[in-house]
Amino acid sequence: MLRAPVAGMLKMCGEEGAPSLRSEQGVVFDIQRFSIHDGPGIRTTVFLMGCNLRCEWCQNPESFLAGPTVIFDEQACTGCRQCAATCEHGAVWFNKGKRVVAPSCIGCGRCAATCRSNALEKVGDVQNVDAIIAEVLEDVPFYNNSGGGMTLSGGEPLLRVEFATTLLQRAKSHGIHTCVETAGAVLTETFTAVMPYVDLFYLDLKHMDEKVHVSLTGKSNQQILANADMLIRQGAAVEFRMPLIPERNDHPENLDRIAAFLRDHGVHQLRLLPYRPYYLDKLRKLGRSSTTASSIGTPTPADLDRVRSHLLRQRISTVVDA
Amino acid sequence: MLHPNNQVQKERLLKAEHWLCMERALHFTHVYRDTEGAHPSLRAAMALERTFERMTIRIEPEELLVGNRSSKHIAPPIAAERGDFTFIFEHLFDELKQFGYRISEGDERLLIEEIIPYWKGKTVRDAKIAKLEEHGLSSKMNLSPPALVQKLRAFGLGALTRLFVEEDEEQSLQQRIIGASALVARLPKLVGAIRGGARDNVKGRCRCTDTQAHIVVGHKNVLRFGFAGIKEQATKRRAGAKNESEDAFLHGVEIVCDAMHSFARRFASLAAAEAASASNPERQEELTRIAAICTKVPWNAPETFHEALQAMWFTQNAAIIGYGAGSGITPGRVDQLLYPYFKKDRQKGTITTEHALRLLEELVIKLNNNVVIWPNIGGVQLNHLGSDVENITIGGVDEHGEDATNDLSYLLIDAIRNTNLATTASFRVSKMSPRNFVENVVAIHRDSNSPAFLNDETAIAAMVKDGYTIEDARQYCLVGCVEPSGNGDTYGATGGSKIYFPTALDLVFNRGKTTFFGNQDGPDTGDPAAMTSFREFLDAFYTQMECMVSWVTDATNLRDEIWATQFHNPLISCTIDGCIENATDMTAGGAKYDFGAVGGGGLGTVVDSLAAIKERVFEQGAVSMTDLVLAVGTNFRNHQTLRHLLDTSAKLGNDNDDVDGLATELVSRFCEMVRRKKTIRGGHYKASLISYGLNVYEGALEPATPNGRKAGRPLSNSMSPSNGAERRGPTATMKSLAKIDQTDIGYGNSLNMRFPVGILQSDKGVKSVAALVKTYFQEGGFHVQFNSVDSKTLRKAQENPGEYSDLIVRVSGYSAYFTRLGKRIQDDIIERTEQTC
Ligand code: SF4
Ligand code: SF4
Repeated sequence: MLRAPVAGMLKMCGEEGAPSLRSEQGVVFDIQRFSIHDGPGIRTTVFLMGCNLRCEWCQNPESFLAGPTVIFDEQACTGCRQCAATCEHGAVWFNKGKRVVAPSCIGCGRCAATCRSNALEKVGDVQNVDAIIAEVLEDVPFYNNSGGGMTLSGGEPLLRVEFATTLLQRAKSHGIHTCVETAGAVLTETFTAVMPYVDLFYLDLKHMDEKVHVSLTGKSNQQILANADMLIRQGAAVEFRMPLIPERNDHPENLDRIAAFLRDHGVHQLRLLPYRPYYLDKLRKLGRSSTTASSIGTPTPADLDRVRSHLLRQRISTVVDA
Repeated sequence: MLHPNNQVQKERLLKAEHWLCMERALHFTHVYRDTEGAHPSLRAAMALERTFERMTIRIEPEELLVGNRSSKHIAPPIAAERGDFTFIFEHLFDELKQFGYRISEGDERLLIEEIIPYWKGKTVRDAKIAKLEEHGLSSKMNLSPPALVQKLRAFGLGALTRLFVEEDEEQSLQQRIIGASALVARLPKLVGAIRGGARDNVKGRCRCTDTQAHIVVGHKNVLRFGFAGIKEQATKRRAGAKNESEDAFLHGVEIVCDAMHSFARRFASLAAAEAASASNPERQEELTRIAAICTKVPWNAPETFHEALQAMWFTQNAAIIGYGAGSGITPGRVDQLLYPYFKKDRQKGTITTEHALRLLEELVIKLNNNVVIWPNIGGVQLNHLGSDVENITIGGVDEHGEDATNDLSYLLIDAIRNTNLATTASFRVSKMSPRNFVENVVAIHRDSNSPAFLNDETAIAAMVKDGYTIEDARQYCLVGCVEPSGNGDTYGATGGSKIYFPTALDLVFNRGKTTFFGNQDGPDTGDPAAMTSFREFLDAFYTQMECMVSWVTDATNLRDEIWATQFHNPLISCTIDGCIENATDMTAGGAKYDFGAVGGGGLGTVVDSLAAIKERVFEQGAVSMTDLVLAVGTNFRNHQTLRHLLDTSAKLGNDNDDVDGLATELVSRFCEMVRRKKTIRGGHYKASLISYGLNVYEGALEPATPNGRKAGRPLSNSMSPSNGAERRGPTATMKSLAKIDQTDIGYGNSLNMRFPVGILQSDKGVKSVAALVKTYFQEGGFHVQFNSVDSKTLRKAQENPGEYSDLIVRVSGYSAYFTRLGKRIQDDIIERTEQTC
């Protein structure tokens, strides 16, 4: 099993303890303005928490969580115990100098606000559509001058279809260009629901072999491929992306199959996202460690060249997202 | 690719030692000594004449444009009469040498035995200090040395060292100890310097420098008429001189015009002589051409591009020799001034683009041969070339309001990129600017330092508000850092007088005294702890601020009287519209437009402080005013939790209407207070929000502030939010600042933003940044400048996360705040940055 062990206190998506939300509410772990790598122009990217895949290389592992939580950087902690004094729920105590958090923590973030050492950071915030759209609207002049707009990312932004649809619909009603970055492992009906309000999908192809896909991500790729097929047939604008993970999915056979799938759908371009180990730091703060993840190497320029020319021979041109 | 000959010139510049040359100072000293009692215009004219006649001249083997500044390749011309240099020589001569400045034995003797003694008591500085004391405006330091040391300790000794020493954050402990003991040894001297500096400063921590300057030279008139034509105008006007003073000024103009003529002819002869002995036929031809050009210009009006460029450079250089280094003498709209000549040459087929580029590259290299003499600025690594900025303005609209971006605008971009020096260039952007012009300017960041973007719409509206005709306003040029001024028609003195907003807070907290010097400078605005509303507090703050504006403008007017009655500048004056017509030197009010300037420093620091007071003290009651005053007064010792509360309150730069509203009100009140003040020459004062890159030093003697900033730490820079205050990215910051009516800030403001690492490597990045600029300007912004973050900055951020918490970097698939990443990742990003830089 490649799934990394998770500290007991963290509430995983789909597990019991995820906050109960009304349909116009979502858990946002970041709203990034001046985002220029998530679609055309200057964008505001809304990162939603919760994901139904468990890729070991996930760059945003905090999004596995369904609800707000506080992450802890042990290295920055001075042991001042201010957090314990602040918590009204008695959820923090110190055991032999080590900070311990009880399951009774509700992720309110009050402790993080009082920590003077930046050792605590609140991740995730329950927000309603109005508040998110208000923030997205702030940068309209910047979208207009750059051809930008709003991007939903995550996590898996389509996990809560009603919420995503409302957000997208609202953005469109203001004339804002919309993108969705999705892993695609959701029901086809979900795509049908959001499609009218999405100008561009970014869809990740991770591995073409179903079994390997399951072992790498915890889920089959069949639904993803079926959705990709449907989107193309329906004429949706889709850009395909592939996280390039050395020794996991960069071997010729997988590349050939991805190329074939794309060509079959009349697509001749692929965005490559070379693996970077930066998320290991986030894992650490999440109280998780991943031995498999830290064994993955970073693709070298030579690796990249090899993959790109291999794909080019298969008539697939590539763009590398640095 | 830089032209090979320019490559040699660039390397010469980078490798040259920094010298102190006494030629200019000595010639001026002799002439002033021999002409005491004569009219100031005549004295200045004769001093210039003597200098141009006798100073060492030279032509470098690769030069096409000639005109050197002093006897050494890098040696700033020293204007002893101003007093700013003599102050440094008296107090910091050893430091200057230690920082790498060299001086010949003979020059040192002349300086110490002849120059300094003659000027003692006669410099602008000395006269200014006497006047400030006479009018009760000087900021006296009444502290005994032990009391001073105690104060400094409260501020952290670092505050003191930062004043004089370029801090190297990567110093080892041992180096630090050596540095500290050296500092102790120098302490008596430094106390003297601080004492001297305090006397020179205006009360309430206001500043009024000795120099006025910051002028756009009237190159347009030199190119149009030549000095022959200018002299003719002066002679004609002299016939109608109404009094002795008018006559003397115009006579002075005649003298300097002739002096420029013979100065150029010295170069013509030298070029001819070198041509005669040149072994390389190509160089021989070049030298012959130089000789011919220098025979013709700047005496006569130029006809070709090369002639025009030579005339401009020669005049620019002479103006700086005359005024002395550290004066912000500006060439103005280089692309506009030169384009007609380029166009004509192109039509005739007598110039290639390559040749024009070569000449422009050489100009850019020459503009970088410019340093300010101040130990920490001409630092150990001598990497402060170009610190005495000769800002060039490129692009924008013409006098009719049409887009005037031309081929030379683009060629200058190439020249700046090819030379890859710290060139100060200002790019005017209007709604009509071609998109690829803006994108090309953005792309400069890829291999050179950061160009400034200026918004024509805002700048022109501001100029018109201040009384320019719309046609003149459209010709504005940037002076110094980013101060908009007229194109050769204005005596603006855009820099030098300044107040620091946080001092107004200090004065409120201490009921009219400053923490550092402890004098009763301002009125007692009452016990802050007894104030019941934020409004009441704010009123006290504005009362103190208004006093500061009065002190600084009174002081500036006293200083200006000294210039007006004793130190003229017929050379620059005669190029400026109005001076000949009015038969009056620019310092005495001859120019067509006249203004004074008051800068405001530390906007972000003070707005964050006010916001924290409003929120924590008056709205939430989480902090009592008594505790706050105590905490700030003791540099937060034993007040860590309170400091954290202040530090985490809302800050400027995050598109937060409450906080931004405080900034909007403060700026508009400040501009209004300043505009009401008049210069002695008949103009009014204009406000600016610029730090001249000195905010680190400006913060050195400023006590702790209620935004959580510790004593002695840098103030916020220009109009930018405090370091680390921006939490929501560049679009939010721009929106925050665009709420301020920037057309009120007549002398400009600057917004400096740090760039996400690596963002400009892609076309997408360039386009996005261009869109940022466009949008900020559409919303009313005046200036923006981006600093590409290099690995050195990242290292500093690693060690000093508090001040860099706004630094965004692109990691993979997401962007992150650099200082929140783990060390390993930070190291990796630093490595990547080094690879791409
Ligand atoms: S408040 Fe922060 S530094 Fe203090 S013990 Fe808690 S986590 Fe550690
Ligand atoms: S997040 Fe809230 S509940 Fe959890 S430990 Fe912090 S203060 Fe207590």
